[in-house]
Amino acid sequence: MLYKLVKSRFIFVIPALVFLSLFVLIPIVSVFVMSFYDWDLLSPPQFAGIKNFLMMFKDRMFWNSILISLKILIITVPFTFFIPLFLALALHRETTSSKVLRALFYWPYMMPAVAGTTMWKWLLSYDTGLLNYLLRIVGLKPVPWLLSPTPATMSIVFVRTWGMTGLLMMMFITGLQNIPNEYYEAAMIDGANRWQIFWKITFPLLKNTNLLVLVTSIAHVFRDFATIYVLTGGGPGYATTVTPLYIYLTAFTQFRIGYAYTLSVVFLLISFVIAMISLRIRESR
Amino acid sequence: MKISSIIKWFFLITLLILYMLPVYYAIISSFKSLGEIYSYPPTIIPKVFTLKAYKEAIQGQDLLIYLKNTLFVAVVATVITVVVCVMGGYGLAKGTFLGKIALNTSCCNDTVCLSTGYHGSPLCHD
Repeated sequence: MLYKLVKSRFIFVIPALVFLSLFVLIPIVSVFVMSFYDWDLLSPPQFAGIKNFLMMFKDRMFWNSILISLKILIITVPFTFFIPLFLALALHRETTSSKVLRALFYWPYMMPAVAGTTMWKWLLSYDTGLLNYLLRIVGLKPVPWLLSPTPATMSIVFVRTWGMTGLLMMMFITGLQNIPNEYYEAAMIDGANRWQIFWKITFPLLKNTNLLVLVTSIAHVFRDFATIYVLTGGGPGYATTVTPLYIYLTAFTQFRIGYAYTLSVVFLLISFVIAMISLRIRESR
Repeated sequence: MKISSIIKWFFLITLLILYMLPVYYAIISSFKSLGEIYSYPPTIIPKVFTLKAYKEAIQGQDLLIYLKNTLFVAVVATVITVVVCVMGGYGLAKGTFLGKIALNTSCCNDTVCLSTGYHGSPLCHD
């Protein structure tokens, strides 16, 4: 038995499987199980059948939060794609200045999400924030960055982009550096201009990196909780209450734990569908 | 050539100022006195440089103990992650169990990576 384990090298996978089950599989299964229960954290859980799921279909707040999540996702992804792409194109050569700038642009990603977002909340504050102060100096009207729905959404999009740019820029730089130089030399000899070189050589050869960046940013943005919780707390009203935040509020301010589990299951399924779509696109290329 | 270079640097510097704003403001605020931090209008360069906040953090708030705890968690988590992931990766790549099933096809790796969020997984935390 032991000999077989060692011979087939299965023994090497066992520690990883143990960690994976302890921290990923068992929690996911327990969420599925608990979604059929009623629980308020104080009394013992009571079996409720599919009551939670029926309630979920009628919960307009929940479906609204999914719409808000998708809206933020759709607005954010172009920014998290093109800004890192621009930075990578500008900074992928190994010169001193681009190394320094790369380190600076990577800095926001190294900051803890809550710390960075707190700084932005401070800068974006309506009465005392630095940005509105600068706007007043220039003579423009101060913007209610976090106090009215559309600016609040855009602030979240911006802060999220700010936090992720470093990581995605490094992915693009790795992709760019993997393109052999010969292609560029050949194109230059053939008399291609820079625009043609970019669209005919760089962009097609980056297609794996493009998809990696897209999938990573979709995954990060869609299940983001910390930024929105710190920046707006879902406000003003419920204008920026995304699904993870709504699940958190259901669980820890209303103490409807079982129902929050149900919402998590539905959210997991929706995320799964989005992940499958991105994988399908990746394979079809 | 010249104009495109100017446009490039214009966007780079604009982005850099925007991206470094909270970093700069955090650093500069650490040298301000408490009164100046909450004063309006906000100051971009502190009027009076003071190291009082640093003294407070080290003496009054046990900052060094927190740093020690962070270092401990970071080192132990890194060691466990590397050992477990290297073993698991070797096992999946070279193993002959279960007839080398889908476990190590690229599609499945992607799915695992995505479903664990690439970020939230305790095994492959970056």
